[in-house]
Amino acid sequence: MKRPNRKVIASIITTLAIIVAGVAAMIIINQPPAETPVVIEKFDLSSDLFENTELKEIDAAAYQELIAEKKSFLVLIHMSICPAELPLTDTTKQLIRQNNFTVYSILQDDFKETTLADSIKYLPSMAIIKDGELVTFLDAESNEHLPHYKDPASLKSWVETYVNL
Amino acid sequence: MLWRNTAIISIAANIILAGSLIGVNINYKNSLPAELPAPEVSDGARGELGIDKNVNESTIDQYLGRADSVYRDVRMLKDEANYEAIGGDSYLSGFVKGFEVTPYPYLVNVAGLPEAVGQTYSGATLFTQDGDNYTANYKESMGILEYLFPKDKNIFLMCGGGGYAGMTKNLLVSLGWDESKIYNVGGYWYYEGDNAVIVKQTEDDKTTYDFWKVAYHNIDFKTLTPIDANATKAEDEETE
Repeated sequence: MKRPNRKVIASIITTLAIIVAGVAAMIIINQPPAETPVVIEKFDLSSDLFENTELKEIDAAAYQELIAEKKSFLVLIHMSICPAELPLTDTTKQLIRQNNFTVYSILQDDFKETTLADSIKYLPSMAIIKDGELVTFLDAESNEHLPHYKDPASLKSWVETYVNL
Repeated sequence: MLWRNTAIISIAANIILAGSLIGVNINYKNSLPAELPAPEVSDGARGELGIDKNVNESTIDQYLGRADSVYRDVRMLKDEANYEAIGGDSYLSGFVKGFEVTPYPYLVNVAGLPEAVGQTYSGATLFTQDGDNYTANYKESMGILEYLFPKDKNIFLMCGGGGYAGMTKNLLVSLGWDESKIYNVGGYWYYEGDNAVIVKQTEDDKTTYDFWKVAYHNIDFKTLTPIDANATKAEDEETE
């Protein structure tokens, strides 16, 4: 029986090595990056929000003005048409009273005319705005956020993750 | 030569036939309604209202027009509560095509509205709720409810935000309906599909409502037979 040519064997081994190296490279490339802990830099709300203690209704134009002025604030987005609305409005009022500051609120029709509607799908919700940019918001489809809707202490804890109150 | 030509024609004919059958099959499958998943409550705050995770404002278009289902919007045409006081609208501004309006406040007494809007409709209702219990106010109450919400059909419920729809589902399940056939689709306000029927029209700062577009289930309580004091009291209040 004729022995296989060494060159043929070498080329087969080289080809296999290239394939293995390629597969290994793909596996490494597709690995999710190692999670780096997210460092949230807390910030202060605009100082004028501490002049009054209220839930202040604003329309879309007033909201856009706050954004243009690069203000930092909280805004409650709520509905007026559903009697079974979740108690986020009451929870927010308690948060306001306990911390003596102003939170803005905007109704669904005005909300739809703002850039908030690009990120927030379901109401009610609360958005945290820093220097005119949306930082985060309460997600009505999140189990993790559910306690924030009902419990002022839980809502405060969530807000204080981002904001110095 | 003849055999060869016959074979080629036969093969070609078979290929065309097979292609046609595949095409017909694909078209048939596409024409079938989407498979209806079992009801599953959403996560988070929407889940508190009982809004469905899979059959909701984003997906309801896939499940419209089913012969095995009924579609009910449980808002009032005009809610007596003063929603304008908080910037809202007391009138039904639109609905999803195929949904028939069956106001929840006519089914059961409603409580717990935001303080600013005052009271909603507080007249006669088919049932009175006390905690988790619902008591019929009229001899005809259960029959009317079974007519409006047939037990042998899937029942798709909508309202403005999902609250009234959730309350309606609670009512039906408490009174013996099969929970696995009832879907809280959520609120018309979140609907962005292709089947919105617009009722509210605004032109030159004048607003009108095309209620003639609405399939509406009215209940004439004066023609019903009261069972107990609850109904009598409600009727008296309505008369006042």
